[in-house]
Amino acid sequence: MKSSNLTYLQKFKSQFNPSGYQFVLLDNQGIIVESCNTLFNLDFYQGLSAFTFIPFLESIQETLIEMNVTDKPLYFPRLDIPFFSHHHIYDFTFQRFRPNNEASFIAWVVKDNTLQYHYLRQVQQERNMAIVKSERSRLNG
Amino acid sequence: MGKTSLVRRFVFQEFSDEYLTTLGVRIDKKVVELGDYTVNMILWDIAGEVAQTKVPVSYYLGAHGVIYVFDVQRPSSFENIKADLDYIQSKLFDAPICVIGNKKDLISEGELQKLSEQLPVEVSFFTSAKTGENVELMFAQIAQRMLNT
Repeated sequence: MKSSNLTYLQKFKSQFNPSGYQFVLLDNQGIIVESCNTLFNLDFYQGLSAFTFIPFLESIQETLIEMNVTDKPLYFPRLDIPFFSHHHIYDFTFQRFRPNNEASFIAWVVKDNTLQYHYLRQVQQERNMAIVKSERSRLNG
Repeated sequence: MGKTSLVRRFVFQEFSDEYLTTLGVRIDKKVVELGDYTVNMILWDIAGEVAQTKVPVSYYLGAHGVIYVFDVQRPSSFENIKADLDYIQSKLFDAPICVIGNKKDLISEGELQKLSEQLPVEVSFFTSAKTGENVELMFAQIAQRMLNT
């Protein structure tokens, strides 16, 4: 749809990134084949193995390489990673994507959940501090 | 328990008294020289849970060793220690496990001794992230044990 044909609501929505997702395809060496760059720009790293410069991926590379199309997607919630100068909280999902007989990729889906988890972190922080305080007063008392 | 403080002490040689909860998992990396070997240690600092069964199963993937941390001052942090370790071992058969009692600077040697005798498992190290005592030693030991497996 052309921009001029958008409804007022669609024009308003177009100012935002409603998905908050980034999609990346890696080959079996971890080389970045394609990235939509919605959350962070990986163009500079195209052709390089993400296993060599992202420690998280390095630590699970054996599992990623062995994934099959029939396997359930691997889900890693609440990853607190200083990532390309962004200090956000992400959910990562990985699955094998085989669009045809010749091509096979590790599909990596990144969801930025920083805002949602910010509230959860505050609640958890208060809860944990209350538990520690209660335990200390019980022991001292 | 001080898991994040132990990692910060080991990776960045720093300590803060401020408590900041870990939501899911924090990832850090440190390269360690062990004799003729260079070991890339990728540390998954996992949020403390009431029981290990609450930890997402995916967090165990790719783990080659485990550091289980409890707070020597808080009985609730070690009351499930045996069940927790049994569960971890069922998930990671071959991974060496280091059991750590942290915050040793807050209690006396006598109290540590008494605590060791009361626990149903053997403690590998008593550490202090605050003073740094035994922190390097503990990480070096788990790295060496991972190399040996």
